[in-house]
Amino acid sequence: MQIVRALFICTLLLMISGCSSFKDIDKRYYVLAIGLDQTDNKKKPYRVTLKLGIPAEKIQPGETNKYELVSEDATSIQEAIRLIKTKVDKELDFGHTKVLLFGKSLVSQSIREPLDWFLRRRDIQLIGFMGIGDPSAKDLLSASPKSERLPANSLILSLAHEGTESSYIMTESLSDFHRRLKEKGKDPYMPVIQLRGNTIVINKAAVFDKERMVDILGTEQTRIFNELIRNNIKFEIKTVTPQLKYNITVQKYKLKYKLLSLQSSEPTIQLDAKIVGQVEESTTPLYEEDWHKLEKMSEDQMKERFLKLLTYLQSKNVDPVGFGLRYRAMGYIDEEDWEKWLDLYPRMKFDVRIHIKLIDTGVIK
Amino acid sequence: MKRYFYYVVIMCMIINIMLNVPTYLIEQRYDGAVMGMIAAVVSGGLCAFMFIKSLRPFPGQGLPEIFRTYLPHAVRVPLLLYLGIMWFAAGGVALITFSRILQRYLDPDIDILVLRILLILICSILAAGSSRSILYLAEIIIIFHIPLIGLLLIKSLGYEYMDWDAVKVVSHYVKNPPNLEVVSVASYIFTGYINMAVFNRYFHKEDKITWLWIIPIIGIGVLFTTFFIPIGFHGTEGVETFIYVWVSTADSMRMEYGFVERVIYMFLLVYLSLSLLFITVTWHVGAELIKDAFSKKRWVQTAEQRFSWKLWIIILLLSVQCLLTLKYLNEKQFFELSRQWLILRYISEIGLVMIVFWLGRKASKCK
Repeated sequence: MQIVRALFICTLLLMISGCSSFKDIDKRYYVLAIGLDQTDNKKKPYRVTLKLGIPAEKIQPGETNKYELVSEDATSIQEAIRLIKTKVDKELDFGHTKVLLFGKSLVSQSIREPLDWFLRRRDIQLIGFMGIGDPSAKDLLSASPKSERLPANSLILSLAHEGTESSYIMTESLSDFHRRLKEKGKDPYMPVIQLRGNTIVINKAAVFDKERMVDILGTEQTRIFNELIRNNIKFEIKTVTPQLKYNITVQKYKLKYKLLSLQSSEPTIQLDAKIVGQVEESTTPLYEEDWHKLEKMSEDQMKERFLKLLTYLQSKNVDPVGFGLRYRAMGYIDEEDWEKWLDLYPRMKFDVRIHIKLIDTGVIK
Repeated sequence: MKRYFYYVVIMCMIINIMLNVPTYLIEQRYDGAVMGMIAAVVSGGLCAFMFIKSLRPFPGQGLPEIFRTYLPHAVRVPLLLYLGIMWFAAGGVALITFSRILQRYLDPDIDILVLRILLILICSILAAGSSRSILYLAEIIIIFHIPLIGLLLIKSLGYEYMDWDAVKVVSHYVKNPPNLEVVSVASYIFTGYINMAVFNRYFHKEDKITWLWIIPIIGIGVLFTTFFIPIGFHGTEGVETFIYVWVSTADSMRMEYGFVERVIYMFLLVYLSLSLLFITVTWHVGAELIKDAFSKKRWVQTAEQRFSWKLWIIILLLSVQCLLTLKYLNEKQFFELSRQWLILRYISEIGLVMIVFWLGRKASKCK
């Protein structure tokens, strides 16, 4: 038994050799965000930009978000990274890379090809957040808002819905984007992030087909889009009539959809939204009004907005909500049936049914 | 004593990820994987039931002792050797897969050879202990890790990006008939009972194993989560992109308020200890079978629990094969080989159950 123990301790010595290639934390540069743009140069199409965090002893808002931005043009992402390594003195570590930004011009060409590197690398996390940089990913990475405590942290906080929560902010993870890119019947999307001075604004989204970006939705459209895609979301319903104007904040929200009468001449997608909310802002006192009427007015206006966006997405022939996948989930589908769906989708009718329940009018009448 | 039977069964159920069971099943998700899994539940449950029932006339005896009583020497020795090597292969596949995953996700700079030597040393020393202490080890590890695995499952089932439509799509392919590969791969889940081949030595008359019907029920749950959760996370088409599909699934989950945000690290640590346990148990059983093939005396139970040099040498000799695969096989070839091994294992398992069933009938008739 003694010999066994001695042997065991000796084997522990073997581990020491494992440390020879290990680099200490002070010899590492943490890449917090990657930006990928397209250049005009045909020979070196990719511009890779890395946001490297510079550590600080004490965390202070606006002070300690120091970073170094390095970028390089090359024929492939990997080559660009190799070239960047010649520019920095420390080992690049991608273990904390949480933000992956793509330039607007790049995604309108193709997203499939550059995405491969991100999926193939073992150290790029699949929970990383994706976004489109407008005008370019590099410009966005250079933003450092005043309240930021760590480099690139404001992007992470907004995209993760950890800090601010807004119905305009879309979130997309690498894993979900990859799934949508491959899936038959569900198309990808990405938030569009814009630069305003030294701060960032995330209030738009872009929809993709299986190859590239198709269209960027407007701010109002993005909000509706977010309501369609995400299940647990806080948002507001705006209602404007000639007499009064009021806003409802949503407390409970549930969206369901099903496909009906697919064989007939009028195939329909029926959406059912159940909403419970309270009034947050109004131009006139609402307490004495007929609440059913108020609910009805909001329902009508919201239905209008939903229909507009759904038909817009349909006209672009993209399906980010996943109606096609629902079609496949309804029964055994072979190749022929799938072709049928591709014909069917552009002429689907939408039947939106919204049920709003007002529970109170806030603190005042 | 009888609860230890279930630890070994549960261990085999959750280790399926390290034997690439989900990867093989997902490759065939459109042709017969779902039906194959249902067939595997029936076949695996039946095998477990028959095997345990047939061992009942032999309390306190393992397979080596039973074979010694009923089979001629010329049959007994090759049979034990073959079975022992099959058990070693099970641990070996897990070791090779897991060392690759560890190297890829935890420390890419480490030499995989050193990693494997270390794993082999740890497992071989543990496996050379007595069966009783290995069962105690199994209890400790399983009890510590079941809550974490439960957390992982609950988290993934209720996760925002879990797409139940994709799960439904694949479940509609249930009509397609399965092939042998799918059934044998899926039936691995149920194979834990077979370790009773050696552990039955410690199960006496009063340790009658009850609640056998629970094996197929838990098995269905494990099999369907291991197959459908990755599909829900990566979609019906995207799921085939990944090599170690469950590692990528764990990487797709975020736990904002967990110890570490990335679930993958919790997953890897849980599977580190489970893999070590699995390798230890299989190598121990394999080495016991091989040892008995060469020994002249019949095994007798002693109170002592001590390290056995003979076992250790057998394990070291056989586990060196894991290092050789590094030189001769790349990842793709290894996947092919382990797929073939899973099929061979299924056929051998059914053969073994038949033999034990026959011997059990014979023994109860003699009485």
